[in-house]
Amino acid sequence: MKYAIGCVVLGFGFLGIGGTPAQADELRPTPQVRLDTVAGNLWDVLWKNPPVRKLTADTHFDWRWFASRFDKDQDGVVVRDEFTGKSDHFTALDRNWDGKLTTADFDWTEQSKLAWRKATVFALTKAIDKSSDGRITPEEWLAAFEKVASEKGFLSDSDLESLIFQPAAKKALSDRRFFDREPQTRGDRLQKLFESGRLFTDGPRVGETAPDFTLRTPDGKTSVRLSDYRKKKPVVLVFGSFT
Amino acid sequence: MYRHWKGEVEFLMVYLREAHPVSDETAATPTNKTAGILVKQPTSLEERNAVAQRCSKALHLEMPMVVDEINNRIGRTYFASPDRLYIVDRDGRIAYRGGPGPFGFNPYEMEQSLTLMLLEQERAVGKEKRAQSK
Repeated sequence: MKYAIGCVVLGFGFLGIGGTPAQADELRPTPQVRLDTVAGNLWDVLWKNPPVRKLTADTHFDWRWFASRFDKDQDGVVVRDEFTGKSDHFTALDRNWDGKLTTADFDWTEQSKLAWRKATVFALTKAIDKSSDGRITPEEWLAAFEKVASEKGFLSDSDLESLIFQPAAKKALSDRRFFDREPQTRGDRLQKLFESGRLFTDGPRVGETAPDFTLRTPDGKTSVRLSDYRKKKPVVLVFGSFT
Repeated sequence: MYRHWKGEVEFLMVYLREAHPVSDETAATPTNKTAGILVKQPTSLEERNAVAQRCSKALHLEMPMVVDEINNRIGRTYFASPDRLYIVDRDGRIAYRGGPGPFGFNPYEMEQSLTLMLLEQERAVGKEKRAQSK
């Protein structure tokens, strides 16, 4: 209920006025809703209990879709014989290598076993790949070995564990630093909530027409329009930045 | 992944605003620092183009790249910053919307949907062909 009220007030603040809430107060001398008190409490509520982010994807091709296509006997398991696609597709889809496709292969939540596996590999890569280009060179590999093995000249299992999880521990620390520091003004709080990625993550939804755009390549020479691919090929959009 | 699928699927990288520019004190940038990636938030398209080109080279990106407008319009439309994945199907509709980055950015999760989408596409094409030959 609190969040419902929160959304109304938020929408009000953003659409009606724009800018930071501090400015909003100044621009509205006789507000119907007392933004300074209501929004003040709202920020406290949001700050102390930020909405939980859903980190998994929304997709047309989830387990339910898959089972309706392939799980003929409806036992919750798709074995190789039930699968009509290519054999190497089956192998790729069988993420946990147990020879059958089940909900476990479609579970991308942070708590899933597979997520832990990936997270471990990610942490290891991050610890070794100092240039952060996704490629571990022999030099980076050796540098990591020498750093952790130091004078022993070999790696033990606990050495490997520290190599993998120490950066993660540091990361958790820096996250804590980020969230614990008390922001000074309400504008700061808003800014930080935005940056934390816990608000407003609702891009175009599954089944909706992808918002079209025309953008240029970095050299400025070619321009690409998304809708030009329609009826030709599917498009994977990879959004990101260097940093 | 791009190399594996590029025959059947178009990949397009959309270069967004910097997630962790150097002037931003809240940014978690130790990794960037180690890697020597210290970039200010671009204030013009030319500046952003330059960073995008540097990024493309440093990360050995082979896929086509376009650069978002300097007012970040496309990134905001897709709620994509700092990073995010989408699949747009052949009819121009969203088939897959990845979780918000960085922690929801999961290429493997995307690849699963991509595999299944192409599988479905093949089935549909096969059906069409059978219908035509009848």
